Amino acid sequence: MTDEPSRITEATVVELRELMGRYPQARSALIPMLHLVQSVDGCVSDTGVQLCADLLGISANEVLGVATFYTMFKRRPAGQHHIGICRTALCAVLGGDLIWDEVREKLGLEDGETTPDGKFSLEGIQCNAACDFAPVMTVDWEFMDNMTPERAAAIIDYLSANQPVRATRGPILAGFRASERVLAGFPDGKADEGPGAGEASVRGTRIAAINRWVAPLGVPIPGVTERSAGDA
Amino acid sequence: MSIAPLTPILTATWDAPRSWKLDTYRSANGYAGATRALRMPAAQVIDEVKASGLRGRGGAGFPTGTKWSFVPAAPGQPKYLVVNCDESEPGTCKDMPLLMASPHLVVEGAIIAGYAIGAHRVFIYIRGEVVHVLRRVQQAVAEAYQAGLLGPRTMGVEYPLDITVHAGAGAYICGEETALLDSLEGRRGQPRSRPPFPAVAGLYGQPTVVNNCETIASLPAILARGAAWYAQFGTEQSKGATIYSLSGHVRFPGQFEAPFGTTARTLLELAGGIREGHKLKFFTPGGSSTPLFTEEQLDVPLSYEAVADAGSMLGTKALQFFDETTSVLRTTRRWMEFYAAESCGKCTPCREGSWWLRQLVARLEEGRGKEGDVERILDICGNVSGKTFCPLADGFVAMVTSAVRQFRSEFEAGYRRPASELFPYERSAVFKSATSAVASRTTRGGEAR
Amino acid sequence: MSVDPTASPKQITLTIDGIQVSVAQGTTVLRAAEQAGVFIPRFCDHPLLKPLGACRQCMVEVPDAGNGRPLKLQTSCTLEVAEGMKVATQATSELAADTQAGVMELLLVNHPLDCPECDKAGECPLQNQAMLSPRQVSRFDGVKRTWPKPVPVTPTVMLDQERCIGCQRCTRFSAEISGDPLFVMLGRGAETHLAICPDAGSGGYFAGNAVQLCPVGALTSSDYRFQARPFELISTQSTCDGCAAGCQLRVDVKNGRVVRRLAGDDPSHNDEWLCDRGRYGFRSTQAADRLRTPLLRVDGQLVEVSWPEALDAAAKGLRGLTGSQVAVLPGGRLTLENAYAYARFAHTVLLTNNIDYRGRAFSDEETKFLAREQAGRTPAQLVDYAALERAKRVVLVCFEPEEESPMVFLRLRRAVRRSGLQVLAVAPYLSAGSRKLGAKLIACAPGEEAQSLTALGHTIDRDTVLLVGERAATAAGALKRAVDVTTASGAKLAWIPRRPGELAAIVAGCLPTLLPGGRAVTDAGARADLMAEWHVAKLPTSVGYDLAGIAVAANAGEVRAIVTGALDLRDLPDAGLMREALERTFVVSLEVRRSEVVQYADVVFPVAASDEQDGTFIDWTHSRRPVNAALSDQATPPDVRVLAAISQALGSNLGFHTTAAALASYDALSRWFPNQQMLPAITAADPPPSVPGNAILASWRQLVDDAAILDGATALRDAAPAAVARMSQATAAATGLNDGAIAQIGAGGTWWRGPVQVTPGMVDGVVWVPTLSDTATHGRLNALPGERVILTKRGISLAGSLRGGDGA
Repeated sequence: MTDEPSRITEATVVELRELMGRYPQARSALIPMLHLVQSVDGCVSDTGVQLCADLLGISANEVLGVATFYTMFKRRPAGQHHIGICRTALCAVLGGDLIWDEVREKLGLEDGETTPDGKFSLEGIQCNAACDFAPVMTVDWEFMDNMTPERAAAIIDYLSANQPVRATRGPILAGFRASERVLAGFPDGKADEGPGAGEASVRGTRIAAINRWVAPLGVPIPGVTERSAGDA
Repeated sequence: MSIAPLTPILTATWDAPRSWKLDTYRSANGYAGATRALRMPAAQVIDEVKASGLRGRGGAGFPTGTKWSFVPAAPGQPKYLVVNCDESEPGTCKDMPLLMASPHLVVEGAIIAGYAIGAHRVFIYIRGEVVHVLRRVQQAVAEAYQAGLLGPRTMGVEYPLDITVHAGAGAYICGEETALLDSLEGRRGQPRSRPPFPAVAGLYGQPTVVNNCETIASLPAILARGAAWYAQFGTEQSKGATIYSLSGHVRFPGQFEAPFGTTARTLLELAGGIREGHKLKFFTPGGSSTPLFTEEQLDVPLSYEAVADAGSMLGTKALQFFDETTSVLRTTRRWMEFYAAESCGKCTPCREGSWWLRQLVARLEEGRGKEGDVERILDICGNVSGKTFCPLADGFVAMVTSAVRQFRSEFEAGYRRPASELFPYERSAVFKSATSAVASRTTRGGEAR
Repeated sequence: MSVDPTASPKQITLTIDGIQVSVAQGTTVLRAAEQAGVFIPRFCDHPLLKPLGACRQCMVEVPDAGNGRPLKLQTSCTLEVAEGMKVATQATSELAADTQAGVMELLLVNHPLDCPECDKAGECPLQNQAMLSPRQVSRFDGVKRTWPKPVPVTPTVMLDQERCIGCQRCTRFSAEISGDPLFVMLGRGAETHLAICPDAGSGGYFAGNAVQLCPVGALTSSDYRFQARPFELISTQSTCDGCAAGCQLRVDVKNGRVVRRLAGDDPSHNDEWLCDRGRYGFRSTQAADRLRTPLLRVDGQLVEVSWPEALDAAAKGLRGLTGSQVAVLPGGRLTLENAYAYARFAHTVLLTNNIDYRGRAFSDEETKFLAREQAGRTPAQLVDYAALERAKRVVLVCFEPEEESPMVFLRLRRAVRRSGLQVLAVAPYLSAGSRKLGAKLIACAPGEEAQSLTALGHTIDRDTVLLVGERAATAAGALKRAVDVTTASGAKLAWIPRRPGELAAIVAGCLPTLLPGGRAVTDAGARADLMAEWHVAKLPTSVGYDLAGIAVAANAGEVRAIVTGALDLRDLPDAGLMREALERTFVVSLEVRRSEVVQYADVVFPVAASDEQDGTFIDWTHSRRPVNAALSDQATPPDVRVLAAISQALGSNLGFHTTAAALASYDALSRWFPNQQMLPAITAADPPPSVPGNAILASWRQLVDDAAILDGATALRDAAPAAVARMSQATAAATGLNDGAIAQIGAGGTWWRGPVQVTPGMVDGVVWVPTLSDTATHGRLNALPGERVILTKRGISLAGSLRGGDGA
């Protein structure tokens, strides 16, 4: 399926083996392993499929069966930046469809395609669990909340010009492959970037704080220092 | 005593500076619940959780303590706890902010639950498309190891416990617990035949408990403050408080932690009401798989029992509000496309039924419907409902049939006119788009592929 | 499903549609319903595959799960019975009937309505079920999924993706039964589809079963596509002639021509499976070189003559020759009746014991082994398929089950998966088949099998079964040692030949030491019994010549006439000597096709192929397997009739003219028992003479190769495994070879050339080549396993290094 030669090296194999060692049964590592393959090759390459199969002692078809089941696994290389636009009902109605048209037109891409220069790929995604920030866009699986067509276009322009763009809840976008590496289970040290939660996430917490609404304290239990969380 | 309209417990520290750090969490009484639990016999922890009335937050609302008690005692046999953070039900957006803002709630909850069921190995399965959430959880687990909270001596007690953070790769069906186990074993995430139930033969064929993220996160407070404290909130059959997620055409969408039994009207008010100049058309009480409610049900107490009595399901407590600009055909079609894409493809009724329904709803939305399509939709739904292995198909059947029942005339209008004429789509958008060329064009959903 | 006969499972009583039925615990409701006479429609369910519950066609109501409480609608294929359970199927439950009709409509949403051009139409479970559905016209008026089609999965199997209903029978067959990766489900949702595994290769030897399993026309056979409609077929149940496994099959005939073979259903043998050799290996008798009329050599040319002319000529050539002057070579593909006719023809008409059916590599050790250990087997000594599943351990000696007896392979694999059978392979490397059995390699250079068996020591115990292949004849001492270790340990021993006629020939007395029934030709008592039974005054008394002895005696002028059955000279260890023997003697050939032997014959009689006659095969388990004529061609009688006619022309009497009478005559001998004491004890053969060489040859036949019976099976031949020379890395390196390089293997002036496949774990100093491969491409090597050969790179002249060889 893949045209480009694989960039998998011996170092990748070492890391794949490390992933296998993290589970009681090595096959459990298959999804993380495929994420790692994507972090190297930009997709689940044929080389990666065979390598995972060989390492796990299963057939390549079993690996392929898994790789084609999960939408995050690509059989053709994703772009340097992978753009997802939520197409499920709520985001679509709230404006996601307009963003979709804008981005599709701007990049000249249909669902699942990658620009010829390999810079961007586009995917219509399903609900990404950020409905309170709708319409939702993702870039490299980082949240780009409360999107508008104009902002989406601007983000693409910045990224095209290699200007830094920060996720609304997360770090500066570092590319599809970098995110895939984190997904594989190799942290990038950026956990502390961005807010604790977004504006919408803390809405209730803030309303409660303003109104001094707290959950009642419990009956003191011997041995447990009682302190209301709200006192923190 | 009177209970406040909002009762931040899980959400209490979300707005604190660096809320996700261990230090922040600890300074807010973090790990007190686990400290207490680990000094109790495991059976007593289960009893405490049973007494609290805690019910699973993943949608089905099964009593958590009861689920735990199905795990055979069998000492020496490996047992597993899997925390289900595959949050994918449309409209549901509580677990991701929870993991991002307060991941230690889940780490602590996992220690409590793992200890209670005798598991020494915990997997936190997080959907893959949310990389920053994963970072926070990876870091929280690493912090917990560094602080000696995890490992050979959990929180200083002679009980080894390890947590592995695992990212999924995009599959709604993996929220179903047996599909999740298959996925965690490195397979296509297809639901398993039951029996055997996971409590007897789950991950690697060993006794396994799969609990939702919010369920696990609820444990620290219950253990720290006691079952009786928790049981004072909520309703008779739905005890405690929970996170309600409000989204859609409301002024201030967000997460609202309130006791069970709070009405949608109360929550809607807290969210600033429907956006200015518009009025409510319909809402989902618990995600897209739950039958639609309208204004008439705004005062239904949002408890498992009351919502069921009103003909829907509390589900994941994901309230998606849509105003009068919204075409129900458009939402139905998009949700139908969601289910068709997410069906695992194994069972005929789900695979083929979603294919067919998607086409029928699509042509109605486009104003190309044929007389009888509406009846046909209901009939197909009848042929699909209850005929499949897992509840995914029942979810879309509930969604579609409730939409038809509540808004039949709108469906029938699809015999003649496109929904986009009756409900110009740009009016539903929450922004005013400057790129009018795009905005004025009718956006069509994905063609049946 | 095989059930351990020693355990009697608990019986569960339930009620299905008001009919009470008791079944074994663990039975599914669907199977229990069958026992109650209620058929529940199904597609994904198959009795030999694990339940899946995917198609949802078999849903039933369960008003009482046995605990007084109802269940929601259940798939009867996954639901296990429970005591007191009450089930209502579509026959009594409106809900179940409606549900099934609804599922049927959904199944057809994406299924093309191309029945008029689909091979499956007329025998299609989906079509049949759809015709029974109350809704005869689909309400679906939308867009159906389309796929490129048809896609060749293997040379023999075509995939029509659009027709697939996702039952996963084929994927489960691959995973659970054959172990050959062939199909995989890819994608999900409505995009879920069957795909061809990237590592499917040629598909293995069992791909045809997937076609037969497919409940729709998604998988079709490239050989049978568009050949016939089911209503045009006349079907006959028979036994496969592809090997000695005894598989039951169904032969489908259209317009007097076999167009298809399908697996029969026989749990004692092949279950519902068939290997592709058996499935597609029926075209050779339809070849242009098929013999239909007798031939007579006139002025050096074979010309067509009438039967009386041919019989006169045969009689003229044979008349007056008896004893050591004549010989009979019946071949190894005969039914019991035909083999018995050859034996009786030799013993009573030609008065000779110069008879040897083998026509392949053999040894004196094997002659003795076959006489003592096979011809005279008692029921207690017998091993059958079920015994393989009861065993704890199976040791393979000179035997590659997947290549040489594929149904044994499938049975072993089932036992490995179900009951943890351990397989040990005494072999030079772990073959693909052995790997699929999870076998442990007892590494052994060819010729050293006897020592390896000794070294296994107490590993061979009473729960062990030794499976020894016919190649053991080339491993000096192996057969004797196999008998010794099994006798000492209480283990069981089975000898598994390749060809379907071997056992029948042995018991019928087609060996120079044997009379029919496992009695020695030197046993005066046995001879007296037979003379009385056969009403003859005289029987030859001394041991005759074996195959090699016949060739030598013919060349020496002692043997002057030879009567041959179907014989493939390529299978002979010293074909050159036999060619000279045939050249020098008067040859009467009974043949199906114009084979190489025919070129040497003076009189040729056309005989019936196995699908043209009734009869009996005896399989490796020593059980009788019925052969039924799927075609009746009066022009080509069975060997029995030809031999009877020749006897008559000679003024003698064979004693019977028909197959049925031949069997009756043979069965009349069953009141006598074999007398092992009169048979010579087994002695180890001498190792092969030492010749110069840098490697030891290992070799066996591949299931799909250049075999004559596969002529005409073009698609199957295309799926044949590549012919490679296998050797270890060290062996290759020592010769300057590497993977893919062309190796030359030479012996006695003959050659085999082909690419090297470096084979990890292979015994150093051993080179493996297939025994029979395309001669034009690879040449032919005249050497036996265990002999030394010269291994070199292509292009290196070996003229100086080979005794008597010039590399031509």
